[in-house]
Amino acid sequence: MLESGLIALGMLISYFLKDIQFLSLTFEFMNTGTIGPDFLLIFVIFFSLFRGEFVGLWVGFFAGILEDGANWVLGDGGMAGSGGFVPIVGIHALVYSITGFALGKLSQVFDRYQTAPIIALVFVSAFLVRFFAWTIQGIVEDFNKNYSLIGPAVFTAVISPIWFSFLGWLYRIKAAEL
Amino acid sequence: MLIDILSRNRNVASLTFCLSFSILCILWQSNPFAQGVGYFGMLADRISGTLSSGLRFTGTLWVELDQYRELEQKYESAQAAIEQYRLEKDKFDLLTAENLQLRNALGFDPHSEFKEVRAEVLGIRLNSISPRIIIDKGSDDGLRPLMPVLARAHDLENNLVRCVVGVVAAVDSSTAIVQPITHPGFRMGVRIEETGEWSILSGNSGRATQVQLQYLTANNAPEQAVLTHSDIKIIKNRYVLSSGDGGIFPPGIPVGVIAEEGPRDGEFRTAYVTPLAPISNLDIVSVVLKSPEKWATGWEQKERWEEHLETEFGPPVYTETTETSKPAPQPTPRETPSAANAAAGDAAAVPAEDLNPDTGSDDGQPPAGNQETRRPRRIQNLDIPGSN
Repeated sequence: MLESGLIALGMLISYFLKDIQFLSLTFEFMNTGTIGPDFLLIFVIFFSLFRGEFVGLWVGFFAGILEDGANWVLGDGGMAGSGGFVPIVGIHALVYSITGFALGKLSQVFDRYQTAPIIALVFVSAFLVRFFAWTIQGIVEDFNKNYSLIGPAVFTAVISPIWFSFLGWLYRIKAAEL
Repeated sequence: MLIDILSRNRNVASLTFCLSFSILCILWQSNPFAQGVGYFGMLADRISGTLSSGLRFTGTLWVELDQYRELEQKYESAQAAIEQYRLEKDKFDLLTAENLQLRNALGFDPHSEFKEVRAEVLGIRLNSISPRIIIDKGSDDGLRPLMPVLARAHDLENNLVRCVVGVVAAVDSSTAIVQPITHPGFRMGVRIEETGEWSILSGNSGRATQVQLQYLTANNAPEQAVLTHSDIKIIKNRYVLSSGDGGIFPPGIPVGVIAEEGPRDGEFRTAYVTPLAPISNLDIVSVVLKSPEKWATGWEQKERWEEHLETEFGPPVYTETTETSKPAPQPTPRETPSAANAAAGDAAAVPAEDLNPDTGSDDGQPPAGNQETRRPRRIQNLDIPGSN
């Protein structure tokens, strides 16, 4: 129970770090705009790798619900008379859940204590998560042509080893434990 | 029993629940859970907005102190300028009165002035699938969804102008979420200054810092603006203004300047526009307390196909005819003067039963005793070849 509460707290902190665009950078060249690391996704990947598919699935699900809360679109056809904006819930919940479950399954065969594999895994995961969220959002609403796939994935991957170390220290997860 | 089965297959059961729940929420967007999550999202945005506002203040504290003296000088010069403008107020009043007289003479509606509320930007979330700006004013200050949001910015000549930032997407009592013009779902009607070309401005440009003009036409009249002509010149640094025809933004507010021509979209041309408002670096915005025009919010409910049949003789008048020859009805004492006037145009043959709501002919129900011999309704005041 205590661990669940701590995980929920960590998830909220990760969400707020992402939401306030902590460590984000704005580039003017090539119309790149603002890119920043996805702390919430790093959190999901961390718990999937270190706690298995069951925890990874639920952490991913609730993290996705948090993320979906701010996904506002103009309701029913996009007309001004359609009753205003509504949040689309479910897109990130679906993608993060699958990611958490899949990475939890992968954790049995994956070396979680080497930096290079973690960077590669986070990059691929972040890219795929963003791609599938973008695709589903496009099917449900409009395809967001401004949505950057590679930039934030690279940023998230680069910062992930530091964040993994921090989360490992915070949740007392050590190599000897496993 | 069921709990045993679920606990033995907890991974599969959890996966099934999460996936089916997510898919159900995607398909049924207006479900009560989504509304709850939306409220939480607003609350979270409010907290994170406060956090980022505090962080930004501490991060820029030394810069702000350094700029204080410079601001003091600017304040003094601004005060002097205000005094000068006060002396010129009578000129402004005279011009305003003259403009009103001219508009009256031409039969134009008078200019509408809308109140504005200044709001501090708590947070800017552009690195998201749904870009948004959080501000510190909400429904307690009169904000409602779909109100226009503007900001002060410098134009190309370094003049301070009002420019479009976006629209209010959601409000709670003390904060609101603004959908910026770079949001992929953002659309508004615009005109290009000088040439007056009409276009649709879309936030879904494929570029994070620019928006796109779509359906660029050469004709100035909206009813003729269908296809592009080859002589359109998309000139760089030309201003794009709100057209006011979307029902949300007042007309004539600068949106941005044309940066370059975009790819062709079928018969139409496109162009990229750099917004005048510094979307990623806003501090203060103004929300115009203007609700969408009535036609913009209620046209779907009110639109009836009969409206398009209205002519200079008035709305269409329907009559009931029978297969048996029927003598032309004489005006009866029950016929009101207004009904007689309505029938005096080209619909003189309208029988009295059509003018009398008691007979039930207007609601589609035939009057008693005439059910077998009824023909479909016929429009009287339209000259449709072959309709007889």
